[in-house]
Amino acid sequence: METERTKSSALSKDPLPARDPKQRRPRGRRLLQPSPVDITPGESSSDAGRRTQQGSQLLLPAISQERREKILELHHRVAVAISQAMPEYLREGDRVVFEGLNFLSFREVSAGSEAGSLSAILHLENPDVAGLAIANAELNTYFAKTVIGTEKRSGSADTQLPLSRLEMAIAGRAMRALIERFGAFYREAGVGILRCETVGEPIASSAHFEADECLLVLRLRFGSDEPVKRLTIATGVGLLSAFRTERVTTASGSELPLPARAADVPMTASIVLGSWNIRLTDLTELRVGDEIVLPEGDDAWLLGSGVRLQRVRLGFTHDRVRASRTEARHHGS
Amino acid sequence: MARDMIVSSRVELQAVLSTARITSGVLARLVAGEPVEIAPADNAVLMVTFEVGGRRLAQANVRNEGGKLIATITKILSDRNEWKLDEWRLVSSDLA
Repeated sequence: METERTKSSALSKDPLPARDPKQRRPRGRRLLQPSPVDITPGESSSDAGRRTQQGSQLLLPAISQERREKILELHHRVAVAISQAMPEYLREGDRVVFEGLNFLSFREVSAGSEAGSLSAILHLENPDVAGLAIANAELNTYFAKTVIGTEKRSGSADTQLPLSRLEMAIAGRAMRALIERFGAFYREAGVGILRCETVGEPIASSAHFEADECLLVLRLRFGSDEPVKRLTIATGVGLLSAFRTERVTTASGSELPLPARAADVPMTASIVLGSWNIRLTDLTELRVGDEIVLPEGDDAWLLGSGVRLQRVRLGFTHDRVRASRTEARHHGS
Repeated sequence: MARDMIVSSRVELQAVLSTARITSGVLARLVAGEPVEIAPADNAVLMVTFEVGGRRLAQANVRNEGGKLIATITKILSDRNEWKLDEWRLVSSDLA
């Protein structure tokens, strides 16, 4: 996969060592090439100086605009679907918002897995890509409060209370339901088969990723109030190639054959009643109100993108015209 | 002298009855023999454009007088004139 080297939008307080000292960028040097990373508003407005000081570097994949838009559009639809189809886990009036995509190292992702968070190990088949899902502590508490009832977990410091086993089970069930929703969209879009392998294992011990491996990070925010309740999906960058931009699929999931796509090419077609060879001087004398007797339509022809294709016979009925073929006649020009 | 030669030269003036934006698939069906019904854009009266070398010069209304088609020029067109495309519908599709 084509890569480019750029600064990561590091959020961790623990700076990453550069993979290769030769790749280290001189401090203060501006990045001239625009980053392909879609940084969410909150992240883009975060302390840019801190990011520069951290100086961590990752080899980030370059995403074409078309593929990037496809990924963003699909996950916006996932967020809308979750808002509509999972009311049992959402407070009335709350909705789910897709915050955008980003690239972080596995170390940075796992640093966000604080106490009370819940993680799941994901696996995408065809192509094989490993991934993680992390629900932060606030989201797990939110799920528990929504399902069990607010009065059971009232209080301003309720997110600091450890979840009971029942509440963790509810959060785990919500996690699986969310992954299922992602999987349904991925399957429909031909991205691949997404499975949830385990829920609840500490991701720091994951053997799927190296500490400074670059991951594609997707985030969903639940509700709009504080504290932020967030689900983070982090996968290997191989997921990017699963979003094939050239694929056209039918509702049944099979690819359209090329002839079917060729039949959708837009063209300009015209029906010409007839023509005359006239002098330019006569042409310049045409005025509004002039009347011209037209050919009767027995020798009209069909033009396709300027190419004369065949003769047609015209039938006039009130304000409508019916054109039908008289004989096949193909011209090269 | 040169000007006289130019203005006396002849060009092919085409009377284009209708222009539509269709797919190549529909065009292929027309070529294969399926008839098409043409409805004027915005249900306006039937019109014709006079074109030279693909450039639209004038627009005219069409009326049928005793089997003769008479075009009355209503507008001299400039390059910036936007032309509304007609609607073409395959007759077989209407019957289906």
